[in-house]
Amino acid sequence: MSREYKLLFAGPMGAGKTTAIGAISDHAPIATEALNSDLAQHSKTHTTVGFDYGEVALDGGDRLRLYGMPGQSRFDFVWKVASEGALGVVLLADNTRPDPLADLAVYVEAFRPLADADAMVIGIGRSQQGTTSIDDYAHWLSERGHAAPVFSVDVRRRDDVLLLLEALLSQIETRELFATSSQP
Amino acid sequence: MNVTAGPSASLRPQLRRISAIGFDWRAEVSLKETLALLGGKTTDRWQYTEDLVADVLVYDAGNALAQAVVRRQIASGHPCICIPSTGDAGDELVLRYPFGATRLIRCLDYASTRLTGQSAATGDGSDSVCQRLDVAMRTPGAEALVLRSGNHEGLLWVASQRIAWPVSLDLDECARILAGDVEIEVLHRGDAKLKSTAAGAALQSAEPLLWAIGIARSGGHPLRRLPAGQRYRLRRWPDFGVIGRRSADLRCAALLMQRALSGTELASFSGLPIGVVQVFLNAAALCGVLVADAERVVMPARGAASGRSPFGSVLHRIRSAFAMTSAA
Repeated sequence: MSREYKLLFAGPMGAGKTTAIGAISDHAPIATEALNSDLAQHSKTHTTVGFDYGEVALDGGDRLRLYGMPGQSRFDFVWKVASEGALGVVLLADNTRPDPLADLAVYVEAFRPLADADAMVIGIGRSQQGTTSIDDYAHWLSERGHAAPVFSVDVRRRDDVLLLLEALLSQIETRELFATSSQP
Repeated sequence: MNVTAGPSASLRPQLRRISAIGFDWRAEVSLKETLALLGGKTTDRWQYTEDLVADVLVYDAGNALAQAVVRRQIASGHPCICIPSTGDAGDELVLRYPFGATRLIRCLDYASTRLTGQSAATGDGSDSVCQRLDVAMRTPGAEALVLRSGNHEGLLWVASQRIAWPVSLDLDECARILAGDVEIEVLHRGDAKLKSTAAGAALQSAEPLLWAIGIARSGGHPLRRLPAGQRYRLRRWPDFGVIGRRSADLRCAALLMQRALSGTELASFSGLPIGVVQVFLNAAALCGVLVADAERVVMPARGAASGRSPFGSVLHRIRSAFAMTSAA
């Protein structure tokens, strides 16, 4: 019987979730977009109001399902439901936003169970343009008890999205390695 | 201070580190001040370090702790300059307080001869670019470094690890730099070159270049400041978004973010050769993300955990779907 695994993409509106899923999905992402009614948050004309969806076929008939979470915080109940049973979450942030750390805080808190399980990775878009450095992000996470990987990425590049995915896998493998090696 | 690394570097003055142990602060200050006056008068260039791991150690023969440290220093093939408590000062590596500049020059030149002979004997003609850069970045009072490679010159700010380089430091540019000589010059606060060097070039992260030098230009040796038995952890993930994706690096980073491990332990947990792990540690140290830690760990049998993880199978198949190399 084939099995399905879930990987989430989250972050503020315009951070590149749909693009990231499109970069690694076997097919073009299925998006549920509508006219953006929240232009104060981001100037793009359309935004995701349901899920973005992509998938990757695995050996043995299994599937890795890729879900892009709607960016607006009024959908936070969806984030929590979706994170149950998820393999991990990729958080995306835009470094040119006025306060990218505050943007991120909402998502780090909402996906805390995954962060606590070392199943969170963070990609920073336009990292060279903003004033918040990768060190700043790492320090900010550390103050909140997290040690998630934070990388400068351009999610239009498949290799950058694969970097996020591989770091996530490496974290999960390491957690499992230490968990099993400490068993009697 | 110029530190040149390249094929002909062994013919040029080396940057050597000197430390002291076992004598009082006045003698230590005197040594530092005398050293500062020697610029250009010795065979090699000498830099004082607070570390006990140095090319040459100056010690008070009457101090028991110093003698213990000296035994280790001599065992590792490094000369020691003795300040005898009694007796004649006839040997080439003996110094008396107050330190005379002439005598100190003679001692240091003799130590250079010993060190050069030692390098020749081991076939290691000079320090690696990685080692030289590490020493330069840790030079007391260093504000920035001028790096020269080919016809490019840039300014690396030590504290922020940002660099003004004439072109983008992408993988191609890093590869070009690694392929040739790298000349390093230390600048201190107020140096006129701080304003003139790389004027107009935008600042960018130096992490890609530092990481590449750590991985590719370590000469197969650990940095001198990374003793083999020490455990380390990472204070943050290196920014592999600018460095580039390498499965072995991701594997090592994940391990050191979750546990403090020595080089040997890291090799065992990761399943990687010790040489690969060592250059990873060098690169992480150069980028300033490696910190020493004293945590104790329980060593697993090699590969004991593989196959026992409930995620093991699916993680392997996800890697396979994206043609990722499994590092373990």
